[in-house]
Amino acid sequence: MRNLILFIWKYHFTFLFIGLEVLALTLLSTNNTYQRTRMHRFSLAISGSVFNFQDGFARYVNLDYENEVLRQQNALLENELFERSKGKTAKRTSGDFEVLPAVVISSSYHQSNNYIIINAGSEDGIVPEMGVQGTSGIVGVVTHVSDHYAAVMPIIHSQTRVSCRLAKNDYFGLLKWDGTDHEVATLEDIPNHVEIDSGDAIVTRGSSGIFPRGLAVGHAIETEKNPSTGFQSVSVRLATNFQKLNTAFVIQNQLKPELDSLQTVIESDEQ
Amino acid sequence: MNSNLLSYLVSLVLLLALQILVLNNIQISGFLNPFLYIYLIIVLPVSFPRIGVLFMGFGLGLALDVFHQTLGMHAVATTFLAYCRPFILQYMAPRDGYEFSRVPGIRDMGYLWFGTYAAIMVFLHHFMLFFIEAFRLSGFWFTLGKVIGSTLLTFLLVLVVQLLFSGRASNKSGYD
Repeated sequence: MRNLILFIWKYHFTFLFIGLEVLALTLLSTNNTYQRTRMHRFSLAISGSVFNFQDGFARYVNLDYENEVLRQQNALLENELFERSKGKTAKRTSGDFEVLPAVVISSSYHQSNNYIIINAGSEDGIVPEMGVQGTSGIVGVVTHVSDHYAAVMPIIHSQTRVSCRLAKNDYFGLLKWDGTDHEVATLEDIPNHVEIDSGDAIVTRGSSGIFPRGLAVGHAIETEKNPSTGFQSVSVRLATNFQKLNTAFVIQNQLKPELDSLQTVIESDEQ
Repeated sequence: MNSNLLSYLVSLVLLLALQILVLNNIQISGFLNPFLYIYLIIVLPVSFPRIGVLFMGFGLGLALDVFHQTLGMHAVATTFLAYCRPFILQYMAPRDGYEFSRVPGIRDMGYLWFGTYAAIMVFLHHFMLFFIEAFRLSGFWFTLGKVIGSTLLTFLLVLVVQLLFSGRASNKSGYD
């Protein structure tokens, strides 16, 4: 208390100055419309930015939860979509698909053999050979599964082969990756006579039962015709951005075992 | 009655009347307003108690506000000026300090000293005043232009009044 009084006495000149200025500003703001309006706007701007910050912070804290809700909802919608297309185009789809949401917990994109780990495993019903889709296009295929995690071999892995087709005319080929640019893959075995324009959509063919028919893969950017083989190779800009992969949907195909057994029967017949 | 006090009171009445009746109505190209009345704060004796200066500043500003229909605006600027005055005087003090009865004017302190002192004081006041009037920082350069223009005008008037009221200047500079 004594110190406070000493402090006030030491700076009494400044305190008096501040007091008089506050008085003058109060007079100013109560008696002059212009300054009052400006003061209101100023205080509103300050309180507004504080509330904005608070709101942003609260949102940030809830972000994980919000993401999870959206992921579940997306999976639900995706399943509904499969359900609908089943009735209409049963002959064209290659299975009975269901989707399971997961989060990418680790991934690489700058090696020639990249891998992705997702936070869903055998306890969630995931087995190898299941397709994985991102938010904008396909990601890859599950290769290894533990109880709670699964390893995914993405398109950007030198061993990956995905059967793809041109969305506009159903010509199909194999999508490979040459190990250099994680944004670009190559679609091969398209006959030379097929005219491909830059921007043509490339989608999955759905032949092996891993992916449903018609999932987005990317779009053509340029094509190189090879007269000696009769086939051209198409550079495809991938729809999935592997640099910031976060959400993954694992695609389960109820009918895949059936398809697989049929294929082994064909193969053993031929031998 | 002390003759200094008497002449100060006379100049108080005259300058306030001049400011309210004449200068407030002058707006050169809507841009330059002279505020000569702060002369009354500028020339208060050095030994005048600084708290007294503070109240003087507040009162003078308020008096002008009443006539100017801008309650509070001039009070803010003149109180600010009164607050700054002791620090400026301290900063500009001659090496051996002020004599007790010194008045910050040409006669006591010389042309150079008074010119510098008056320019700083006028600028500080006008800076505060015009920015309180604008009450925003957008259009900063425009407001600063107004500050500088009006500062020049007021500064000239302060010099004229000082020469009229103070009589012959001493040959001594305030710094020696």
